[in-house]
Amino acid sequence: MSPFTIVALTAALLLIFSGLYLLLKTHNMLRIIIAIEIVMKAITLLLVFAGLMNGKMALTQAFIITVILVEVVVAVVAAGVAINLYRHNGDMEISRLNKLNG
Amino acid sequence: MNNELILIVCMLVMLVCGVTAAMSRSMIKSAINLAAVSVALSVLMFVIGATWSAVFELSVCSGLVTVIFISAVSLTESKLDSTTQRALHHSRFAMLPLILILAGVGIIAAIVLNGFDVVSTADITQTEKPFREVFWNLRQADILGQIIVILVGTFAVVILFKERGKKI
Amino acid sequence: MPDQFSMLVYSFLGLPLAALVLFNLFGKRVMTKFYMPVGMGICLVQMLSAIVSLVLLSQYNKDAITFSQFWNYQLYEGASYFSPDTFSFLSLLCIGLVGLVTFLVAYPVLPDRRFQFCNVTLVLLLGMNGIALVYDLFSLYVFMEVTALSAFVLIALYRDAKGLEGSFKYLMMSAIASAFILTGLALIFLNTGSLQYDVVQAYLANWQNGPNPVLTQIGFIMLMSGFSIKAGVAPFHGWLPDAYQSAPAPVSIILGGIVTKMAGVYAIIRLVGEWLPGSSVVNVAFMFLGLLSIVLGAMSAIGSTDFKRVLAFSSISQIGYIVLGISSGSPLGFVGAVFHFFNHSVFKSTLFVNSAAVEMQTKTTLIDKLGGLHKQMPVTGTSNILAFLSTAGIPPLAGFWSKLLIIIAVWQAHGGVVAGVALFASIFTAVYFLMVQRKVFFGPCREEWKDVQEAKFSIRLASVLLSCITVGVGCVFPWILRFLGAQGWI
Repeated sequence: MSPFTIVALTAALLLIFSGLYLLLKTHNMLRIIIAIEIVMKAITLLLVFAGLMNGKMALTQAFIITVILVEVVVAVVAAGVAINLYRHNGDMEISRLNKLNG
Repeated sequence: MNNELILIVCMLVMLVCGVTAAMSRSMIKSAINLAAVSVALSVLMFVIGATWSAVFELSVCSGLVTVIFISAVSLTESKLDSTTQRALHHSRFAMLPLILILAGVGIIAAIVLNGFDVVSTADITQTEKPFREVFWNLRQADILGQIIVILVGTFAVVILFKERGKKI
Repeated sequence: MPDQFSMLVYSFLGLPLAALVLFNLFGKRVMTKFYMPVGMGICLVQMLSAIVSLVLLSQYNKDAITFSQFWNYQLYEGASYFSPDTFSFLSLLCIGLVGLVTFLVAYPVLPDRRFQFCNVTLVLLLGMNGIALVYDLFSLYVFMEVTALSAFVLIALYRDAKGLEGSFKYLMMSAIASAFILTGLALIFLNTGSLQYDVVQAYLANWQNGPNPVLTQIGFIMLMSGFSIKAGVAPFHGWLPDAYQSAPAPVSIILGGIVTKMAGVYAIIRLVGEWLPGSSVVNVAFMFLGLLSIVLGAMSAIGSTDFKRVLAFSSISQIGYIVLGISSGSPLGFVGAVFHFFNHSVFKSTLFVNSAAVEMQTKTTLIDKLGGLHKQMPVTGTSNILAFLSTAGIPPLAGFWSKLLIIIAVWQAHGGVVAGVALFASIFTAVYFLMVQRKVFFGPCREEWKDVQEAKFSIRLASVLLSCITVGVGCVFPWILRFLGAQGWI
């Protein structure tokens, strides 16, 4: 068991956890996007680790490039929706998202 | 072994900066910490030889995403983070480092005590094809998907960011 | 099979892409005029080629049409080309049908946003076609992301407060789901070295003896929870009613009719139904998820006061039936689930078309405000009751047969109690739908709706078309069953 494996697994899991914690706990919509980005970074780390372990680094790089592209577009769309909501509500408070029920 | 040390340092930097980005009171600091996570990750990729993805990570994630954030923050800054809001945010996340340290110790203890190990599944007899060939020949569906993702991004920008004359 | 037929696959991805390029080449003015024939034509061609491919598959006794690469015909080992099989073509048929209906309804409902709506809807169709065609879990993820992203944009099309809110909630849950899916993919990729379907299938068949079984286990659980969130299965369904309710009317049709099913249920059917049919732990887990969705969806539907929200909760309930059918692990349950997949996309889009008609004519979808619309809107009311009866599983209609197959399969696999609960919930479905039908369409006509007109021609056409399919498939179903039995699938 190399220390690299231990640190990689632990760091990725803890980053995913803190990202999801931020996503579920925060009251600010932009912070939700930051949370998504943190989780995505952790997953990229996990993908790199997987590529190192199975020796398919080229395939992993192809995956990572696609994931990076997707995460940027997700960030753009999320920022667009959040900015439009800000124009309606006047702030980024997530607890104002309660117009839909019944 | 020197190499491994660099990798471990990179991952620790990622972890610390990530948690700081989650906890920090100011949005700008969060964005910068996020960029630092990206930089650490791309250094890690450079060290293990994944040059292509490292370049993408460095330019797109730590560059473009930070730009998106900072412009989003500056577009919406006025009442965004009032002092009470910041204090509230801080109080919500005061426990996070403690939880993380406990969880980290727990995970490491579980790994070490159980003798859990990740077996390498690499096939040493086969040499892998170069990245260029793999990307352009094996991942054609992904390339098509990327083109379509970029199309969605364009339409999203057109629809969501276009200024209207009157405010609805 | 002659090699040229593999070119059929081009019609699913090439045509919408070419249409998108043309749309934006000629500019807004010209294309707004032609958007109806173009959009409907694409969907019609898609349905046609899906049917042709299905016939070809059964004619030549093949499992799948393998598609050579876009460029460089030298196939590498582990290449990610498309390889659609019968189930893929069936879902492509559903996509074409629901897309056609969406374009029909969008014409009168969204007069001011036609250009943007058409662009994003075409991308959405591309994303869903990609999901159905790909032969690699990572490409599946990429096309899922395309589908989800264009759905967010479509829900927020009008940039009103409700639409943006539903879009943001969907976005949050979808981001969590993507995180789970990617983590699972990374952990499985660590062991297999490739994410192509056949490699992963062969690995999952014998994962206990492979390397790193613990990581595989964690990865598989993550993957399944991610797909369940995207599908809106019960404990993860919070975003679904909000997204459906807040979307513009035509967008609700395509969301409720096909998007959530392609984005989540399709992958669950592939992974659990096709690759792990014998695994008892997975089956029991999905049995509980399915039962919970069925019951919870039906309960919440009774409490809702909005027509579209009732339909959304009913979607959760019906997706529960699909998952339950998959969890039986038998070929019968698989066939039942796939047919319920088809039937659900037909009758749910009928219902959403009718809600769009009601919303367009009365400007509201609140059940308490509506009443006695049947006299003014006879076509809508009649097709609505047909779709309701089909959803509830009343005998001659299509929904009955798929539910029957699912309940028989569940009875064989999990015993009478589970089948009884599913059956009881089905009756429950009939109750709440009849309640809605009575409040919206039957009863005395309210004063303010005295001079409501019947819906526009294209909306009526859509709902009549879908009702005909519901009734027709229901009538020919015994022959379909006989055909399936002759093929040895049941």
